[in-house]
Amino acid sequence: MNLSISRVLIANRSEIAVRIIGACQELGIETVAVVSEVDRESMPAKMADRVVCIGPAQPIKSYLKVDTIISAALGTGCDAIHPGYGFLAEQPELPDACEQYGLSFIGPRAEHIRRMGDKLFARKMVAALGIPVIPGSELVRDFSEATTAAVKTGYPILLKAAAGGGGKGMKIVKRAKDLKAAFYEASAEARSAFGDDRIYIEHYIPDARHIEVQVLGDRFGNIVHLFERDCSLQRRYQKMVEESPSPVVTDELRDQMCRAALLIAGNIEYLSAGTVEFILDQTEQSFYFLEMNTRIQVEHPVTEMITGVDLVQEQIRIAAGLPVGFSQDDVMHDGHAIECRINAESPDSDFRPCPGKIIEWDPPRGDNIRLDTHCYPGYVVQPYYDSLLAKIIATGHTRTQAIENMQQALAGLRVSGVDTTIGFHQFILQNVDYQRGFFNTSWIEDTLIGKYIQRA
Amino acid sequence: MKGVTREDIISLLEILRESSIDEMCLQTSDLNFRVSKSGKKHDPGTAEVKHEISEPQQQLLPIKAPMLGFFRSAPLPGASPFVSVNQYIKENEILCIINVLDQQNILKADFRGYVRQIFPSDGEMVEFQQTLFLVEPANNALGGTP
Repeated sequence: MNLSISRVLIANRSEIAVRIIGACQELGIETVAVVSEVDRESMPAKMADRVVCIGPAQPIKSYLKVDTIISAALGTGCDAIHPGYGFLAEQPELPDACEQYGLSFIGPRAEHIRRMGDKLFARKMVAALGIPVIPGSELVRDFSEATTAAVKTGYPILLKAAAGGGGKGMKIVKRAKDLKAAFYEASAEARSAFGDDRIYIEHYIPDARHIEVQVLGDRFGNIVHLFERDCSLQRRYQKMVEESPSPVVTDELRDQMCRAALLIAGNIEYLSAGTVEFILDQTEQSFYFLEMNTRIQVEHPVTEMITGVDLVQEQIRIAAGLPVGFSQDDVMHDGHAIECRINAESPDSDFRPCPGKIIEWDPPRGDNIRLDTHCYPGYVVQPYYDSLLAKIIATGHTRTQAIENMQQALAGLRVSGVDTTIGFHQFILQNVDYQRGFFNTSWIEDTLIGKYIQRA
Repeated sequence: MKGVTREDIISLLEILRESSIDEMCLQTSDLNFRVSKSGKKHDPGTAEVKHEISEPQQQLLPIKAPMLGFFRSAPLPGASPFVSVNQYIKENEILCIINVLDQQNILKADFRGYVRQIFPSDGEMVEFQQTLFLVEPANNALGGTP
C-alpha cells in the first residue's frame, strides 16, 4: 500500500510502543523510538529503526515534553507521530504542534480532545442528542452548591472532576453528612491531578457495568463501531480484566449502545480510534453515557481479536488520509476474547507497585493466546512509570473456552524477580460469579479482595 | 608558575572544593600532580593529592548536550562559529546553541581548556546527553591566562 506516511515517531514506551512499532512494520513504515535515559535498552528501542534519547527518566522531562518530541520527529525525518495511550495521547498541544510543524498526528484532531476532555461539555452535548446521561448537576462552585445539587440528584452521589479521568478527584458519597469532607478531598485531588478543581455531581449507580464501544472515524465522515467491551472488573477505577462481547449486554442493548456511540462520534466528526464509555445500570437495564476517550485504549486487543480488525493499523491509514478500510456491514464479531492486565504489583500488599529486575520471563504459548508485552529476562521495571508488564489476551469460540484458555495462559506465564498480579487474576478467573458473568464495577473491591486476603 | 608553595596548593584545593569540578591537574617545571575529589565517602575538603612522576596523561573531558535539540555552532547561519577546534575557552564562554523549536538554549563552558573535538555539524539534531565537544582542561583550569 502506498501511504503518505513513511516514518513514524512513537511518543510512548512499554507494550504500546512495541504494539505500534509492530503495526508500522507490517505496513512497511519505518519507526523512530524516543526513549528516556532509563529506556535505552527497552524492547521498543531494540525494535525501532532508530532510537533517540529525549531526556531523563522522569516523564515530565522526557515523554511529556511536546517541544522535544516534535524536535525529535523533525530531526529524524518522521512524517507522523503516534502518541499511544497515556503521556501526551490526550494533550491537544501535541496535535496542535504537529499541525504547526507539518507532521501528521495519528489520532483525533486537537478539538476532539479538547471537547471530549471537558466532561461537562461532553455530557451536555450528548444529552442534546437525546442520549441518556447519568442524572447530575452542572458545576458546583462551593460546598453549599454541592449540598443543594446532591439533594436534587439524590444520594448516593458521585463527585467528579470536570477535567477528570482515571478516577482522580472522584468520590462516592452515600450520606449527606459525608459530603463536606469528600467535596474538599475531591477538589484537592482534582487540582493536583489536572490543575483544575472544578467538580460536578452525578447520581451513583451501585450495580453498574462499565461498557464501552470502540469507534473509528475517517476524514470522509465515515464512522463505524466495532462493538462493545465490558471493562467492569476494576480496582480503584483501574481496569484489571476486559472482555468482548459483554456477557450481560443483550442484542437489543448492544444495538442501542452502538448506535448511540455512532451518533456521538458522528456529531463531532470524530477522526481515528476512540471509545464511547457507558454505565449500564444492571438493576434498571438502562445505560447512560459516561465519557469519550480520544485515544487508542489499553484494552483495544479484545476488540481486535473478535473482529479481526487491526485498530492501530487503521489509525495509521486514517492519519494518512485513507478511508476506514471497511464498512459497518463488514464488521462481524466472532467468538469471545478476554484480556488480563498483568502488573508488577504485589496483590498481597495492597497492590503496591513492585519495580525491579525481571529474572525469569517465560511467556505462555498457545494458538488462542496473544501476549502484548515489552518484558524480557533481565528487563528492569522502572519506578517512574506505570506498572503494566503485559496484557494476555485469550480467545475462544465461547466465553467458557476463553476463560479456560486464559487460565492456561496465566498458569503458563512464568515471571520471577518482581511480584505480579498473575495470582490475583487466577483468583478472579476461578471465581464462580466471575465465570457466570455476575459482577459489577465495585465487585473486586467490595467482594473479591476480601476473599483473596482470606484464601488458604 | 615556578616554586609552588604549600600555600599555593592549599588555595588551589580551596578553589577545587568550592567548584563543581571533580578533578584537576597542575603541571609546572618542577611539579606535576593531579587532585581529585574522591567520591562521596570523603569530605570534599580532604581531597586526595596524588603526585605523579610520569608525563601528565592528556585528559579530555566530554561536554554533553543537556537536552535534545538542534545544534547551532554559530549565532546565525553563515556566521563564524562560537568555538573551533584547538580554541582556548574560558568559563561562561558560549559553546553552542541548542534549538528546541523556537527556544534557544545557550550552552556555556564551565571550565577552561582547549576544544579538541567538535562532533555535531551545524544544524544537526543532537540527543539528550550526546557528547558534543571533547575539551582538554587547561593546566590552570581555574585561573590565569594560557
